[in-house]
Amino acid sequence: MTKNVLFVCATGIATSTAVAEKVIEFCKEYGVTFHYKQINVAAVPANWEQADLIISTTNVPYQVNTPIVNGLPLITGIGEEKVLNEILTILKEDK
Amino acid sequence: MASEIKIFKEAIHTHLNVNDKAELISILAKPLLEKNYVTAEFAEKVLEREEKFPTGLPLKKIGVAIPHTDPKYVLKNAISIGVLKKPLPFKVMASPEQSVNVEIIFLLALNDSEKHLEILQKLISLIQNEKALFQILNGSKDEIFHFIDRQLKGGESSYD
Repeated sequence: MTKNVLFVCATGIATSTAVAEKVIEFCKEYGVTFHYKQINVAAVPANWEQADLIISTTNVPYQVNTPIVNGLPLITGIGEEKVLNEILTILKEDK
Repeated sequence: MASEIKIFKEAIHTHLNVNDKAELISILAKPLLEKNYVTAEFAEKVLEREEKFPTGLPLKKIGVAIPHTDPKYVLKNAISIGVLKKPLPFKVMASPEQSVNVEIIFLLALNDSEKHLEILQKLISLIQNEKALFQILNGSKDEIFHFIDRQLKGGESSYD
């Protein structure tokens, strides 16, 4: 089953755009594809239930049952590999 | 495609001496407002957004912040750049309990995610390049303008 990923940032258009692109490219290299949606943090309550993974560059101040990965390393470059591998592992897990 | 974001010399400020973020954002937003790239509320909305969703980036040697706000306050894509004389603390993106001393600010006026993707990617790789940041930190207005223009618009990846 193809998984669903939510890319979240404060506006839903700036850092989440850059992060989404990096994750898509990285996963593609490993043959992993997924459905995704880019949203702003206020839209998390209405969307998290359909998602298998949330990758956010902002603090998510809601209770959700979907794993959240901090996407900041994909912006700063510090610890980027580690986060990309963590994301890949989650997306490769059986649903 | 690559030319869909505007950088102009008037929107580059070096040796900025500011006391707080409000003063900083208002200085950086002014040229964007004067040239009709943003609405009158832009600066205030950036500041509000920064308090709730901070944009400080803790890089290895230089602190950078990329304040921005909702696209509805932006008329056309543009970037305003500020280099500070003395660092200003910003809260860290995604970890607001931490703070980072920021020396370079890229104020982003972005109104469309499809069109600015390429520029955003280039800006992120520039932020991750220490040598490039030092060039901005120590450059004159003209040098920074040509450097950023080349980095964001050109396809080259060399920072020499």
